[in-house]
Amino acid sequence: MSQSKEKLVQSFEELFSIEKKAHDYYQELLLEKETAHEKEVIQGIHDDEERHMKIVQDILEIIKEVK
Amino acid sequence: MAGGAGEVLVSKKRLDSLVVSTNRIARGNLEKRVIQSKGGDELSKLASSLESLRKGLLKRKKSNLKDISVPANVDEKVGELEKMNKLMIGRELKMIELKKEIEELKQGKNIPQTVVDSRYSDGIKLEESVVESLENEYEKMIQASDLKRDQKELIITKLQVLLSDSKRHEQALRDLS
Repeated sequence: MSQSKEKLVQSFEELFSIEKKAHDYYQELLLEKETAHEKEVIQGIHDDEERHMKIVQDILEIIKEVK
Repeated sequence: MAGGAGEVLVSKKRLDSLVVSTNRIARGNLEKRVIQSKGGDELSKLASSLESLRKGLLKRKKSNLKDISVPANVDEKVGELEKMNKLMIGRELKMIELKKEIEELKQGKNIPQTVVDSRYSDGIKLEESVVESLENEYEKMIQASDLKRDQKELIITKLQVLLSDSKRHEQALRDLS
């Protein structure tokens, strides 16, 4: 693996950590007592963050596949 | 001529008396009145002026004595005034800050952090940092990489989804605040 690829992998692993952090944050927020509207909005963002984690994993796979 | 000599003698006595009074006043002794003499001559006018001066100085002296008398609770009063002063300055600064924030809101600038609900301020900061990283670092990094063109395009498309969602999240959190 070239140095450039190593750097890319490291950067996207960091991005994955940030998305995971965001996901956990919204999960905690959902446990708090909020109005129905607030819950709906936060739930939507939380679901997006789950999807983001999957997207970043996909990107990592693409980068790692390259020889 | 005898009358003239007598007149001179009287005048000298009156003058001596005025000199004594002047010296007494100069020493700060203001209690004794300046002897006044009848007649409208120069010495009478001088005596009258000197008496006015004595009265004025006496009045000022009494007034000063009253002013410099320090009340027993002066430290307490000074402390209260200092507290009031600090409070007023604090309020004034807060008012200036609030006026500035209101002006910025009127001009459609970013909502200041102080009015963002604390429940969501962490989320807003998080989304802001993601947006900034995606816009300024990740796309450029991919463009500059050794990846194939189609791989770059695929990754950038995915990054744009993340960017668009993160911006939407940030706005949604601001709307909830």
